[in-house]
Amino acid sequence: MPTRDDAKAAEQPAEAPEAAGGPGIGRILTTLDQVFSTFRAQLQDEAPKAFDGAAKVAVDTFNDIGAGLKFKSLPAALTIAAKPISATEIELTWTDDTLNVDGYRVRRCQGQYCTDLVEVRQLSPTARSFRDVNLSASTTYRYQLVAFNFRGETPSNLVAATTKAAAARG
Amino acid sequence: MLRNLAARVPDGPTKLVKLHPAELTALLELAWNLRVHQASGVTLRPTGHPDHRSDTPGLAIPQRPLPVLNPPSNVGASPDAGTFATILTDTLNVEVGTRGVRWDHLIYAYMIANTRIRPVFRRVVLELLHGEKLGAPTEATQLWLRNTEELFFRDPPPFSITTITSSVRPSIDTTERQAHYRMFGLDLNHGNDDNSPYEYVKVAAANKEFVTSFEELLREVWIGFINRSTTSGANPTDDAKIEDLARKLNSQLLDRRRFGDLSREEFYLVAMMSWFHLTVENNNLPIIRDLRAEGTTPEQVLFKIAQMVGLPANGLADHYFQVADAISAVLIAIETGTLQVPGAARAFYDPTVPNSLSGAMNTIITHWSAITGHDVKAGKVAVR
Repeated sequence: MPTRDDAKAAEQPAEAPEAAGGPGIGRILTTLDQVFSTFRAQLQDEAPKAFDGAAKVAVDTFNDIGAGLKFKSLPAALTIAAKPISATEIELTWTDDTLNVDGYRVRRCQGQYCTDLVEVRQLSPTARSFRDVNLSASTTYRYQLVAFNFRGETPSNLVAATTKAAAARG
Repeated sequence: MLRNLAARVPDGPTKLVKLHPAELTALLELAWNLRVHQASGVTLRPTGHPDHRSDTPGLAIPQRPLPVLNPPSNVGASPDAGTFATILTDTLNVEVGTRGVRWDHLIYAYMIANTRIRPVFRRVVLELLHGEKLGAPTEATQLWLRNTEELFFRDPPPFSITTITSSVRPSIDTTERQAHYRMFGLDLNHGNDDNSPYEYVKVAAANKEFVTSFEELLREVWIGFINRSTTSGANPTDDAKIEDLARKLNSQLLDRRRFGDLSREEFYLVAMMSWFHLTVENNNLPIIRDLRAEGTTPEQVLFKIAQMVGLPANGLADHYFQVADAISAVLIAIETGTLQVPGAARAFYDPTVPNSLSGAMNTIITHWSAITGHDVKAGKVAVR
């Protein structure tokens, strides 16, 4: 009949490699890593769920109340100007002294008459200019600035500007 | 109210406190007159609802310019008065969706009042008017002083919407405390200036269950917060209970507001507290500079002024200042009835999409625990 000491002795060989960081602990760590990687994958796979139904109405109502308390109306339409700075940069400028916006979105497309504007940057409400960089030389871009707050958003006029020609080498 | 209005204009606080008291009164009347917000295609809500606070008319004020000083004033209306009036009316120019309200919930006034800001400024006004202990106020400060005394420390003008005292209810202090007690079952946390209790008759029709229901809501929302990412195992978030608590709070609050009850009191108290809040929030106001009370945060400014006049402010003033805006907006949202319907509970605690409501709830939970000492983040203990 095995005694308590026998049992302890039988455990010893298993404990020793663990203490030394041997294959036992390695197995445990591997298992743990597999378990946690599963959770991690699950969390990463879970895309942010947009609100819908009653939750969306609730959030919209709350946003509208917040805007009302802050005396925010729909942002006024802004007039922007675009100026090429270099072969790779165009600068947008505007004025807005209404303190009525929560931010601005810069939208851009490539071409004089393009309409497929996509958002390239979101700016803070204090921004009054934006320098678009890493553009192609001698290329025309079209811009629009969208002022937004919780009441809604208002797009500006569309402006186009062409980057300068690349400097000749040599 | 006045504070949010000033925030919409560059250097607004300085411009607002320089207006003539008649212009400020006119702006208040104008704001009151814009209290009914009927979105197109939406049935007008019952009186007391956030979009229909009252049917009591204010004085008719021409929107702009405000000709209240022209004549008899030699200089005519202040150019800035028109700017503020325009902002008020423009807030209604929203083409889509429902409209928000123009003034804060009574809870905002309760939170700011608890900092003891009004008794402190009553002493400031007294000292500046009756002595030179605080130095002689400069000309710019004289304007703030006159406005503060005219609007908040004198008998109100007849027929004004801000007239909430009379021979029947002569004390504004009692009127203020009564309003808070009726709506929230809460008294202010300070008594008289000598720290004796403020005695007044507490009415029977008061929301004595408000705190219990609200704290229960905060507790349930916190459970939602900490379990929002739970993907395995039991999730103790109880959406049905959150929605039920929102419904309970909705019925409690709107019951006190039937037929527009308490709306005038709320309007005046919110305006008054926002005036004092605006004052301690802006270091560049002449009154703050004259007193040399500039500080990094509103409560630091208040503490300095309180020390000067020998009346300690509430040590938790920072929490009251920080929670006031969030709790005001949340209670108004609850009063709209949109947070109590099935499926709405998630909006309280789920920040996975940009959600200012869950942000506000987080702020409230943090500061409510600090100011009440009730830790709503702690789990409930079952008592058998």
